[in-house]
Amino acid sequence: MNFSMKKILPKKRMGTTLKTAPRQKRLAIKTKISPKQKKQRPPFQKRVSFAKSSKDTKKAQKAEEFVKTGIVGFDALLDQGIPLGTSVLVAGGTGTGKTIFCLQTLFNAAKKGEKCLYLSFEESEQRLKKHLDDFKWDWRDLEKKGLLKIVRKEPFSMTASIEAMLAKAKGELLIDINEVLEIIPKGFQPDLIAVDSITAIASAFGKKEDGYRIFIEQLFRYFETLTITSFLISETEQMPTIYSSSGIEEFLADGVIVFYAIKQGNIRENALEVLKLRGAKHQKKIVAMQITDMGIKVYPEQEVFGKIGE
Amino acid sequence: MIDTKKLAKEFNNLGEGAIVLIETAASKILEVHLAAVKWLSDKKYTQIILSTSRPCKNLLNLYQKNNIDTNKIVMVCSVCQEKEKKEQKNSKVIHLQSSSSLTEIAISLSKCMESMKDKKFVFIDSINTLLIHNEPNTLAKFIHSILTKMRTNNVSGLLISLEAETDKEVRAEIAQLCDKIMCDKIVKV
Repeated sequence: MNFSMKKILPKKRMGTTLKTAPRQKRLAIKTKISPKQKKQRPPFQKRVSFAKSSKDTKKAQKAEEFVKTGIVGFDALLDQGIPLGTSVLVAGGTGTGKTIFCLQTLFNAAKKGEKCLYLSFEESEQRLKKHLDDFKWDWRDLEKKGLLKIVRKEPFSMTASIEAMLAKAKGELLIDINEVLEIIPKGFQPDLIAVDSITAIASAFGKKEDGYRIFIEQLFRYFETLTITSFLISETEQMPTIYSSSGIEEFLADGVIVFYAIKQGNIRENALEVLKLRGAKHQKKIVAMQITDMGIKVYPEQEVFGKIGE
Repeated sequence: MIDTKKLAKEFNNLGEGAIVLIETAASKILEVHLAAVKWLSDKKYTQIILSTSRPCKNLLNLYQKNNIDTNKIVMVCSVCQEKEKKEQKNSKVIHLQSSSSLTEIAISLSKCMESMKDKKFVFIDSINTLLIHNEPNTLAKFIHSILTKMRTNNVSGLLISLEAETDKEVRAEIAQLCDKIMCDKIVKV
């Protein structure tokens, strides 16, 4: 395929091209999957294979098609849950609870037997594990069982590999990003993955915005091909209107969850909203949220009183 | 001195789930507060008191001095900003970080309303102190939200504000949401 990158991945705020382009066309940018990875079944297909008849299959399929976060109040915002294998952009300002949200979701999923990978480009593994300890989430047993893995990657060293990868690809875009970057540790087949954060990756690219755009597109497609439900953290302003560094991530993602810290007098109040979630019905309102000693708690019926935007 | 008998008589005439706004002079606001809490306590109401004017410890001392049974009183305090764990564990007092954190206040009041089974009364003291910390429109939105929850849960309510001191628009908005408006001696509506 000889796609001109500028046509596919336009510069800042030209993501509307992506938004309006038919999904099939967008998916035409394929991620190369190695034979080994092909064996790594989409988790959902593996699960439904136990069903007896086609009717049972459909029933089981429907039940298993959604992921629950297990976060008090959050799942009530969604009709059935987050569709399996979708990519969700978790956007918000500093200290709004994005990392805790992802850690909590992965911890809850791991407790249910899902394989979860937390990929950090910022905080160290030790610090993230300390966060888990602070909330009294016992990760040790889950780690031993191979259900929860926290891995730290250095974004700057990764950038060099990405640039080499892109140079090698020369617009062909048939790229095996995992082979180059080892995003997913060898032998580990996650059902859920959190990337903390894509902003750190974008920063590591510096002014090479085109390179970042190509990489991020590939990353989304890569997770999609492997049917991994992914949560990609994006650092924004406290009251964001753009939800990512380049502005295209929110179009590429199937879902966007926005975290707010709304200034009210001398304090800030936490809130969140499910801005979009393809393939799932969800409430479209900004609701109150608290970061408690036991993690995030969402109040689906509680409006927030601070000023949100103008 | 306020006419406590008259005040009690007015309270006796209120139906279950009624919401009342009391407007009083600054010099009498504490007296009205204590008289109202005393009446509610005598009537065996579980009281959820939002204290934004005085620290909860101070109020609880005053209740005891005035022979008010504090067993059925839950304080939601945004004044003392107590952070001690011991205090946090005390189920009778819920400490909040600020009188500006209206969402947090609303969440706490809702939790109290939903968790208590006895006949309940929410007491907000006072509108004027909340106005020091919040924009009038934001406060009106908050009051509307709380009063709606109270009505949904059939919880009675009492709001105190200072006579002629409250922002006119907010006063009008809050007044139209209440069933009755009282001053020290005269029932206005």
